[in-house]
Amino acid sequence: MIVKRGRENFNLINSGIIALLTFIMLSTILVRPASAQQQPYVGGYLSGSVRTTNRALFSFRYSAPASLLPSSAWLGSVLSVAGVSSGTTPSGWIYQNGAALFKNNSVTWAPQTYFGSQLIYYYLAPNVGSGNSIVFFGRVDYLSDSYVILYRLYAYNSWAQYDNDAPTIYACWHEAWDSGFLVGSRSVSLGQRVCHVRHFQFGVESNQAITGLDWRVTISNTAYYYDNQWRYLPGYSLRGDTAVITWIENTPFGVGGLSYPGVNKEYTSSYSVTWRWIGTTIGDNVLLWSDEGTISNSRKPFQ
Amino acid sequence: MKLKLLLSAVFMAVAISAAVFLSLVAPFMAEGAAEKVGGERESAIVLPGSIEVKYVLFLTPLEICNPEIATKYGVKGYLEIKFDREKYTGKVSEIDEASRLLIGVKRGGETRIPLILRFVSYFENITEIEVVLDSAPMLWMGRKSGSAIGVTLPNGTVIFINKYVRYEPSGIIKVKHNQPVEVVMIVSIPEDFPLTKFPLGAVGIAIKDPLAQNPLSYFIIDMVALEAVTI
Repeated sequence: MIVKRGRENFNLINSGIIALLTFIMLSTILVRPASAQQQPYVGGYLSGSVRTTNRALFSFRYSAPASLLPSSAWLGSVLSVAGVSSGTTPSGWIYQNGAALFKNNSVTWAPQTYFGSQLIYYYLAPNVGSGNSIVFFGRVDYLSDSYVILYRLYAYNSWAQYDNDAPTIYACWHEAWDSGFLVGSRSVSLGQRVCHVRHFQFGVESNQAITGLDWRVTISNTAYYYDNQWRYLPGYSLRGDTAVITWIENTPFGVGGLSYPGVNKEYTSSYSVTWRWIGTTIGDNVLLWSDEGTISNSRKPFQ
Repeated sequence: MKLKLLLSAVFMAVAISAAVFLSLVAPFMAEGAAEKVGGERESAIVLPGSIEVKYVLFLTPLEICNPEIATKYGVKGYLEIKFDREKYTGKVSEIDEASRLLIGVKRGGETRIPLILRFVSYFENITEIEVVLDSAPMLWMGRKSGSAIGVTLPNGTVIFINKYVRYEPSGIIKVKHNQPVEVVMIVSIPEDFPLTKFPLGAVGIAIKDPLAQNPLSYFIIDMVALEAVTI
């Protein structure tokens, strides 16, 4: 009798557990974030005390089996910098220069400007190169004499273009409403909490996590311009779930929103990192390179 | 045994009801959380410690052309510019999907390339926009928005193709929502033009004073993506 009662209780507990698991399963399926408007993002940032600049630069190249990408997926390489209003106070503007690789192996250039999380400017040019292009450079300038933000993409689509430093240059621009960009990182109190803000970020972002596929994106020449020289600072990793880049009043704004599962650094050297899907996810604030200095390069994007 | 079955059934019913209920109310809960901060509609993430972070996305045409996503980021609509292949009387070659379409451009003459401009509005009260058809490079005529394509010569000189392009009609035109407008891009290159091949796009086409027309902006998707081969 006692054994039977015990067995019934056990069965009851089992059915409770099954019900709980069913609840969790159904919740996972049905209860998704309301608008799910975040993207997986992994990247790095230039550390050091906060300073200002009027030019930001990066380069990127793909090594990815584009044809194996899911049909509606893309692999983006993005430079994001925060705008400055005065001193080192952020303006709330975010400037993103980058491009995306699509399944057909084409690369689309898509510079975009946000104020907070409102997209204010967007320009798009498809087929500026391909996954086989040698390298792309993205640059964004604040032209103080004309109050203009100028985005540029330098496409080296063949070895001939690269060897002769003869890139195709795509440019677009819009009126500026602040006065340059911020570089560096800092901790700030927003409301009652301390937030780690990284103002100069470079990384890989997708509309959906591309996993189980051996892709690489090498991002290099992560530099800002100051005192007539292109400069870089020590680089650290960041993840999309904590990639705060600026703030307006007490609201922080970040890039991406989700960590990029399975992506880690493969190679690093001064101002260069190769991101690769290898199944393990890089942590936040992992050192990418420790030195700082200037980049001496006479190529067109540096001019 | 009956009790056990009854309890199991109750547990299951509660679990399913709770999950369905949460799936229905979650969107409103999240919107409510976002509105506390800025009254905006995009989702907000609450990190441990209750810091609400709003995120910006990197948007491609897939997202801009999807009103559900785009409107969350303030996109009111977009202007799409395409090459009108059906109207073009010359020869067009296609290398592959990832490459630009190849068309011939006459040296010492004019090549007329038909384009279609289409404005898509996401809001009923926005019915048209004003578009500037002028390939003038940056800051000419005081313009503070535009686009350009440059090609670097072996000697390091950069040639901007804007200089060789004009539009018909030109100046400012109105484009109504979902009513495509035909425009001709005219490319004129001299006999001694130094390039044999160069990319072509709808350079210089811009939306007039997007911020003045509306508090939030519109966006240009230049799908022309041609590669001109001089002939």
